[in-house]
Amino acid sequence: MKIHVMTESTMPSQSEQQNSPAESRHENLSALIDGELSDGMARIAITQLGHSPGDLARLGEYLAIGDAMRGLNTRHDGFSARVMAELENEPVVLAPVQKKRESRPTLWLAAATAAAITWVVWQSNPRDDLAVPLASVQQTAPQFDEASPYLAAHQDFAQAVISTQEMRFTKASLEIRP
Amino acid sequence: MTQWCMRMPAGMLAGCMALSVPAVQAADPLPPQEAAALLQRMSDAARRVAYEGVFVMQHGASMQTLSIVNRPVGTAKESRLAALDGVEREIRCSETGSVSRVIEGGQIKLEKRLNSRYFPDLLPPNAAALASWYHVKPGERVRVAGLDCRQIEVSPKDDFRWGYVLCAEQGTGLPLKAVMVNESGQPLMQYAFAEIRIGSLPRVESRGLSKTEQTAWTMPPAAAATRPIMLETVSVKNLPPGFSRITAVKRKLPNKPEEVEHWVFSDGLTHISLFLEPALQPIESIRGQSKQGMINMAKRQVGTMQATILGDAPWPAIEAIAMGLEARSDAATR
Amino acid sequence: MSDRDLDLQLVERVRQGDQRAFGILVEKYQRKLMRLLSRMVRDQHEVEDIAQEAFIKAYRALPQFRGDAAFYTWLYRIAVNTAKNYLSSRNRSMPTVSDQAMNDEDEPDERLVAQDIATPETELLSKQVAIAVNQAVDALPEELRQAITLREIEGMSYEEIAETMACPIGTVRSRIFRAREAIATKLRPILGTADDKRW
Repeated sequence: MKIHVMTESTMPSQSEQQNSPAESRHENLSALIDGELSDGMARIAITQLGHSPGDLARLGEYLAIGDAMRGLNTRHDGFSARVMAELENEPVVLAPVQKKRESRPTLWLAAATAAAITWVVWQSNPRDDLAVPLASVQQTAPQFDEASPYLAAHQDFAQAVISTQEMRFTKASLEIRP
Repeated sequence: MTQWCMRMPAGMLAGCMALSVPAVQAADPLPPQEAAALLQRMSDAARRVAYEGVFVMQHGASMQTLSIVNRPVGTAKESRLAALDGVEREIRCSETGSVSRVIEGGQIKLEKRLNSRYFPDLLPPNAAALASWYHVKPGERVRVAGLDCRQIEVSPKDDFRWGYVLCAEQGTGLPLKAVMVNESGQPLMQYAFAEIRIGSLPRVESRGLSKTEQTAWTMPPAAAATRPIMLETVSVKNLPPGFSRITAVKRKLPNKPEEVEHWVFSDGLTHISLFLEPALQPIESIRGQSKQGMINMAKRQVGTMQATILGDAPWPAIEAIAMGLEARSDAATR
Repeated sequence: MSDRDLDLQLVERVRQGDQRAFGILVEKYQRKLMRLLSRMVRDQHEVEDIAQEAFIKAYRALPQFRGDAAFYTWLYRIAVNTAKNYLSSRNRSMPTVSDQAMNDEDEPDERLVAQDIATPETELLSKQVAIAVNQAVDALPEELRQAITLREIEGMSYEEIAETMACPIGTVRSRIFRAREAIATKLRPILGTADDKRW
């Protein structure tokens, strides 16, 4: 993309232009979403947002334009208005309460928890020479939870980052002929 | 300041090949040189292109969402991934390896991984070599995360590997979607970007790590996760074509009191692991397969060792390795 | 003030009792969030329901947001978990990989499909809007077009744009604003002024 460098600014700066109060407000919103307002100005702009109902929608338009320019699926409807309407029924959130964050460890790699993988294997009795026919299934799941660490270690190398709860193993019987 | 722009015409990367294939029908497989070049382009893009985004990884009904930021550093890369659901996990990758930081149950655990490649960095640095074992077929144009991509089928030439369908971004070749498929074309696992920004990165990334962050990511000196194997107890007589052993370490697994040996075989795209440990009692031979058939495994006794073979590969590959294991007569007992 | 600082300040405002500041966060992230959720849930109405629920949950959980992670990362986590709960409470699983990749059953298996999960309808509308926006951008006076492009496509800061265009930062600010206004004016007839018109 060619970039033209202007040697002389011929456009009037903001202070020279006569912005109407609404335009000034909107220009501040435009700068706000770019993260380019000073802290003080941002505080004012956010406060003003509450006094001017159409401003939030306008802010949404600016954001949607950016998305469209980047070729992304975008939308512009009353979504934020609906959310804010629902929030009116919510108690106002006040200063942070220091609550201990509850962690619910969902298994990520099958490191330690036995429940991570369920193996259903059919074992061939090494004393028999007959392969167990696939139709007869014996569930021996608990014994094979020990497979989870192998899978985790394998995935350590093989780039998968998925939780292994879906790794339910089935079938088996393996005949090793000497 | 980066020169990248999403609107840049294709062919910006040095040495990249412009595709001149008919747009609509899936063509015949590319001749080997073109196939190699295309694979290499996609592989290079994952390391050399700056991008940040969010992708979803899916296996059956199970899903994981991750954010990723990739910064090329010279010819190498530095990536940061973060899990957006489930356990809080952050991973930092560089050329030398990767470290993962998990916050679970109020504790912080640092783990070193053996590998440093994550989606979209699925293809090995020498991706051109894959052309010997996989057919490469460009397909139709699709859109992923708002960007134009070309679908590329990477299908195995034999029964020892799964295939992939990749969606490579037109401008850079970066895979934005990857579906691992079986021999019938059924999907086994899928990665896809939900959103991505290629080229310019947020300025906050360039300020580098703060002192606190650096401390948070320093592994304690005592934490050696793996160590090299001194004596080999087993030999592998039978490897599928294109596979070679890429690593062999001793490591501690959570449920085991002693270290086990972990060997990894790969053709660059497919990985199969072999675990060796002393057999404490006679081992019954077992074969297993994950629910969707993506992972196959076998367990058997080899000499005095228990061997567990498993990988993201069709059964013939696991079987070949498993059946070809022999105890070395010169091996010292552990 | 960086983008991240902006989010932190907005959160702080909400915590001081100003709900309206949350509206800005909603506007800012609703599209990104719904794009992500569309990967997990097919129906666009459900995507909206889940997104709405996620924002409400985020609002309620704001006292616990620590600010060490980016706000939108924190928001995404809430949204993804909301989606998972939503689906499991209706005894539905995520679209499986096979659902997403299945195409025409009549086609022989040679054809492997990797379609983006967006519905054709939203694709079409979005495309029309994208065309209109880009036409409006192309019709802008050069200095406005350049300013908004450097901002939205290249992601440059005002300072960087001022350097590139060799003009004061105030001028950059003004140009970007007027570019946005010019484009929005052209788009309003297409969008309709009614709040419920969807792109």
